[in-house]
Amino acid sequence: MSPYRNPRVVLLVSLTLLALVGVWQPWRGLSFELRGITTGLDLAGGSRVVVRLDVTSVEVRFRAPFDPNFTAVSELRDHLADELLSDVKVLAVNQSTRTAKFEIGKPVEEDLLRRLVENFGEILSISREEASSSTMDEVISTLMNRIDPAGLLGVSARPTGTNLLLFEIPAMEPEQAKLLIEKEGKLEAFIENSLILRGSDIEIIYSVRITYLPERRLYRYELPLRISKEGAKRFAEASAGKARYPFAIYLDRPADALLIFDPSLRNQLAGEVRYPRVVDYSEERRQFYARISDYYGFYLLVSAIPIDPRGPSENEVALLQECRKSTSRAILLGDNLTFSEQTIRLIENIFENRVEFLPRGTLDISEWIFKACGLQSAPEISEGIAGKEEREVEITGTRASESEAAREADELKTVLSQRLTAKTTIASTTYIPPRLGAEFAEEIKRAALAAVFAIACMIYMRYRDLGIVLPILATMGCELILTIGAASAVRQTIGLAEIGGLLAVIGTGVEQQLIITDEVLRGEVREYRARGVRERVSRAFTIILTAALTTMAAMFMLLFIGFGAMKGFAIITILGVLIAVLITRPAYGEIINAILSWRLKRTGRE
Amino acid sequence: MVLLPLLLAGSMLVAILTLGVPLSLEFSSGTLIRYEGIEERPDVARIESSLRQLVGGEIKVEVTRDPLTGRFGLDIQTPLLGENLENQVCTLLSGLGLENPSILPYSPALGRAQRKQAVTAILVAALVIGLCLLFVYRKKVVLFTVPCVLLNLLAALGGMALTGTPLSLASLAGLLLLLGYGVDTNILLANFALKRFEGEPEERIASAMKTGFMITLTTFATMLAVNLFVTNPSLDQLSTVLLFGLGADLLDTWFLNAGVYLHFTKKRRMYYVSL
Repeated sequence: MSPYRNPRVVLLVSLTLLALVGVWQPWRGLSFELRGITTGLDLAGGSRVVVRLDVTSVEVRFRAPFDPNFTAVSELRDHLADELLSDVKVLAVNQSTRTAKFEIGKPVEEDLLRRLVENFGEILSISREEASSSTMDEVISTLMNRIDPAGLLGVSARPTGTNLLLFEIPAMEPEQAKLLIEKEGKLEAFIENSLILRGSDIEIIYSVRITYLPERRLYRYELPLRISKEGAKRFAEASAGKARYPFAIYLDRPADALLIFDPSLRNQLAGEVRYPRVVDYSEERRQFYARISDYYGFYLLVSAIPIDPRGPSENEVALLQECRKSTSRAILLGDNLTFSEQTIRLIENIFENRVEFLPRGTLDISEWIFKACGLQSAPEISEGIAGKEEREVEITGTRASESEAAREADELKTVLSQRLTAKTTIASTTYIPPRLGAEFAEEIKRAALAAVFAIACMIYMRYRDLGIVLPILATMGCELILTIGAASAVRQTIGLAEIGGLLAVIGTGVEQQLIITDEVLRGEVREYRARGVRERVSRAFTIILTAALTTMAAMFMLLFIGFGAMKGFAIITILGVLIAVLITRPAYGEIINAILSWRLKRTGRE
Repeated sequence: MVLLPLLLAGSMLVAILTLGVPLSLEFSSGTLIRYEGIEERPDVARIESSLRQLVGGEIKVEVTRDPLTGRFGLDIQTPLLGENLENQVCTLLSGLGLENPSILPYSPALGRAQRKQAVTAILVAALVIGLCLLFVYRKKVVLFTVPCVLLNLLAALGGMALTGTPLSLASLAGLLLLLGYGVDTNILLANFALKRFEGEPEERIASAMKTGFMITLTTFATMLAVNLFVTNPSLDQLSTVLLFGLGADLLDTWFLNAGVYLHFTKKRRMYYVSL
């Protein structure tokens, strides 16, 4: 059969063309650029994000000596965790001095801490500048999973200083990385003011559903969850007789923050008609009030106060100082245009520079306040489920476009399933330009040309036959395109490590084609002549398959240990080996078989 | 002939023990010096060369940009500096107009746990490779491939010690590639020596050697081209590792391991003849 009609060769050529189109993407522009591949940090730049872990380490001397099970230590840990709604770790216990060191996953004021510990013993020291290495490792691993769940981006992270983590993220906008990193993933659901569910009650997160709401011209996402039996029981007790009440679900509710807003915002609340919406502000409770229908509403459980943005009055300053006692940071609804420089400076002084801005952007007033309070959704408790142990809960949200809704729902799912054990703050976000510019691309081109030339010369010197050199080089080229195409299909970023993997693919590709060629040409030796060409090719395949098996075994090990760039190297090599064994090698076997059979026929030797 | 690869391995071991393989910034602790809010783009080459003279070793200088203000920043990664050297570096950089740095010690990108995992993975990979070979060839002699491949790695590490190439993620990738290449040539040898019966063992091994030399030399040529034409340190490290490793692979596979297989096949033949 002519090699042009051979199914293996046809498959190789068609897939190569498909990969070429996938990588080139001519529908996005006809100039030849590799649009289908995402390049790594070295080649395309990216963002560098420094994350600070806001933890509190506290050393406590217990009053009574420890029992063999260290019950008092566990009790204090649980007490702190319950009261502070945070993860608490025991870092060290010293039986002889009756001391234990705890790490709380968020900043805690000294007074509050003393009150919580007083029944157990006394506080020896408190530190907010140091995170344990185990917490640093945990946070790195969780954030890596959030930023790069499939491990294809080549994100690198390392602990820096005593409580900082340095992330280098290729191919992601600093803003998007910031959003993913900043979310703690702390879920809380309330009926009136009672906390009914927490993140730890979530057992399963199901797939995201997106639906279009034609009457509102919006896309609605639904993230269904299954909650624990205990959670469902709490829900049944709290919702009994409360049909049509709101079930307020918060994500990362800034309970430790004070919202500061322009008083004129209250007047704008009346202008909105859609439910759920913020309808009022309570001076007494210092909280916003929202309604989900004409009859039912709820208070947003985050402290908020109005402050004159041009310059606070004496009363307002006193109010700020009073609120500072129970909160650790301020969130200003607006930006530095909304609030005067003097106001910002004053608030910064009171809150020791822990001040964040939340500009309105394109949001409605209510959406803006909900976002500031961390309110994710507030569905109505239907008559059918009120008072029942309902285990299926849904978090919903609406966005203007389908892609935006899908992205937000996916992020929410990632954040809820990858909850952080410590509070994190972004210390800085910077853009890193590509380390390797056009010069590097030139160098790679030169090196590739030189390598191809050297390989071609060596193969020619060995076989003295252009009919062998050209198919080897062409197959090598196809294999390279197919591997890059496959990397693009699985969205693998191509960085330096991946270029290393491509070199490996080229190297083993040529190597294995030479093994096939030598095996086939051995037919010219007397002892081997008795065997048919096809049998000789299959003997070469025994070597190639064994080699592929061992390479895959080694690369799967590398993928398993999977740190940053090395994962990319392993993925490229595995893709290359699979393509080689399944597509290019069989096709090359057919090509060389056809060439040799044709020559033998011509010379009449077979 | 068997002595030659053993002599090479011995001398590489001496090189590793006396000179040591340097660790790159990815594998070692270091100091990160950060400058922020710089108005004009800093001259990286000048800063890098001044620092190299003062501190020595590997230094990475990167210009960053604040996406909000558009101002430049500078991230300088150096080997771990003592307080004294830190002060000297700051004085030197303040002479170049850079003030108020934040200085942070950083841990290796690969934590202790990950390094342990990496070593375990390499050992398990070697074991899995051995088991694969044992499964395919069903003869214990193929297990000799594993020490043979490890000798290639030893030669590559020796080459790194001799040329001062640091152990980085790139050179680690090179070592793993070498593992793959080394196993491939040994599989070729095992296939000809153990699975075929045409001709004398010497002839079969010589025939495999022709192919083996060819495949190793083509890869060698590729790496030589990368080494000569690319100045990027990562690819330079990767190619240096492979050049030394592939050179050693020629000796380890075709002199040492081939000698073992020859001995084995002859012994097997004598056994069959005596039966």
